[in-house]
Amino acid sequence: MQSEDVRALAQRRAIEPHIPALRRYACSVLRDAAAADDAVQDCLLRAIDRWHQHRPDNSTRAWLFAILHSTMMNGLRKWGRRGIQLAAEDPASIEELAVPARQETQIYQAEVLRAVGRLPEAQRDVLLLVTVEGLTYDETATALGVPVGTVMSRLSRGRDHLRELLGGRGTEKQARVPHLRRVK
Amino acid sequence: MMDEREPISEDDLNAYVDGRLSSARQEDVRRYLGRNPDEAARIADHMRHAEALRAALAPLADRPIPSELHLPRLAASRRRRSDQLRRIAASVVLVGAGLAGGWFGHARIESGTVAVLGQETAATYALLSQGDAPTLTYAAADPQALVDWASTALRRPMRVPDLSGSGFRFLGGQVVPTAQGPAMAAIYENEQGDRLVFQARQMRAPGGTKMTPYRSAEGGGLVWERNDMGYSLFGNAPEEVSRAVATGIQEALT
Repeated sequence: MQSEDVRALAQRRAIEPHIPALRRYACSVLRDAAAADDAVQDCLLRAIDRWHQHRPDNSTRAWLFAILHSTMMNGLRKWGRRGIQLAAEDPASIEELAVPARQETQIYQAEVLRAVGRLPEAQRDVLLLVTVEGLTYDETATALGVPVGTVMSRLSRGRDHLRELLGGRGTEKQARVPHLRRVK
Repeated sequence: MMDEREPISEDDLNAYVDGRLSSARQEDVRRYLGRNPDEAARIADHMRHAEALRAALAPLADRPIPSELHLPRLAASRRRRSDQLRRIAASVVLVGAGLAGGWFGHARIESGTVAVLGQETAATYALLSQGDAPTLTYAAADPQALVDWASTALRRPMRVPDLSGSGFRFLGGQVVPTAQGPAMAAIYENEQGDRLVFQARQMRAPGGTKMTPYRSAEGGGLVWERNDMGYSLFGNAPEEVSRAVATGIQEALT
């Protein structure tokens, strides 16, 4: 029983520090705080079930994000459609949750956030994992189950695409009123 | 100095935005951007966007963790669940005596054959689970009666799992005809109204013991082979419960 406790403690110490980031990522992708926490809960339960499969020398963070990513991919029906369309239909929820837009800086941040919501999913996921969650390129590749070369090209295209969506320039003074572009 | 001769790549520029370059390489990129104002503007935009994005989403990671995501609590609920499933698996006992035929060793499971047994079991389930009296009128009312009936029909000592330890009550059973010969079928029900059909018949190809899940519109099941017999469990119980029961039966039959 004692070894059971030791194991549980090690598991807790390894997983718990990542929960805030997992919640934020799920929320950024699903754009719904409650659905995001459901996804994170499923992710944590799977992580507990598969803990014995996790190699201690591999990145726990990448492992957890990989589980979360597949949880969200498999849960499409349950959690609604991800991505551009959902973001365009319901642009309010996450922006309000993330930045209450009052000052000019915050209005600009909300605009960037909306533009990220209009990126193709593959580019958006990479951009969020690298830029916001601070995963290494290798960790991002593990989390998304793609080669690191794919991560780099998605990152590059995602950044240029985002710049285009924000009107070529991204300074606060030039921040324009966002328009919801037609979704193909 | 060596680095400088290496041309700046798009990957370098991304790593520069993300602050992941060695300081020497970072200098190279800076010099490059100094010579290329258009690129410098692009990279400056990327950095500004990244910063805005981080700032915008920072509050999302700062919310208190709700109790549904409290890890020790989740782990405890998982332990209870797996204990419960272990108990279900361990609680299976068999009615009837004797051993099944000889052990033929492991062989490749012929998926076609196994799939047929799965279909038969789903069909038995469809028939037996609609009902109460009419479809079970000619069935054995108690496990021992089914043991006798099935052992005669299949010309071998048959055993009927007793699943009452896992909460599944024996409702009845019968011998059902299949294209591969007679099969023994038993139906069980628990308090939640989940029903499981256990079916066993001789298999032409002697197979291994690997348990294979399968699905139909009405539920899910597992099929496995042992010696020259094929076994299948099918029903509308949650998959992990079905799996635990099947594992228990498989072990009890060993």
